[in-house]
Amino acid sequence: MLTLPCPFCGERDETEFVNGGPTKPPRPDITVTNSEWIDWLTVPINPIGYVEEKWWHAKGCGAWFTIKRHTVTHDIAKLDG
Amino acid sequence: MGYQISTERQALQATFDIKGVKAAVARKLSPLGLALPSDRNTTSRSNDITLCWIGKSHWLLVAPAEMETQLKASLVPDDTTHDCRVVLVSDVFTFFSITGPQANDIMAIASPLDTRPKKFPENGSTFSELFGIRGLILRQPNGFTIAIEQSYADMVAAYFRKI
Repeated sequence: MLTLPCPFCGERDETEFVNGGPTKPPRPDITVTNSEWIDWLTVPINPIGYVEEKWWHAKGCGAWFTIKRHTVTHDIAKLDG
Repeated sequence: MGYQISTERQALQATFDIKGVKAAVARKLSPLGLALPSDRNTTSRSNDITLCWIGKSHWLLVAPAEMETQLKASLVPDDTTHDCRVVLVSDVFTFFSITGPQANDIMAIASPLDTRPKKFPENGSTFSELFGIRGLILRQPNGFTIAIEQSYADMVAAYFRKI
């Protein structure tokens, strides 16, 4: 079971949270090609390693926060709050 | 009932949802003699009023139903001229008490929250998962008080009848 560090409530069980998906790089410039636009819009970032992702403490305090989670070990490296 | 607990569906409570910057909320509540809780996910109490700090800029005030009119006059819900917003939400929640020597065991079934005193103190109050839905959990001397959205109340009452 994964526990996540809510910036307000502290460590809480994964079942209290909703995953908000990986954080994206900045929106591309308007001159971007169709292929690059589709990549940005629809292709999820899924490395073997740390991924920066957003979580919503939906059943708790309601806070949104960003963490860096290792996709293999689930180690959480960073909390932005 | 297999567990040594007593569950009771409580009468309607006067409940106010308060959001805003700390200083403004403190000013708003000072006429009630109510200080803000000092720690996150804890309560402060004054007379029969309980104030729960449930989010970064979010509090829930709970009091007996007969105090609702007096509290409405003091807190002025929906007044947009202040830096904090108060909304009357008495009809949103149904409260249950869970008391008895095995109240902790029931909470362990209902919620992933760590209710050991070190993690959830005597004046603890927090939103967490309860029987799969979002609910408020408050510690009381011989157990817990929980509040869930009113539409789920019959479902939770049925769960309690089964345990």
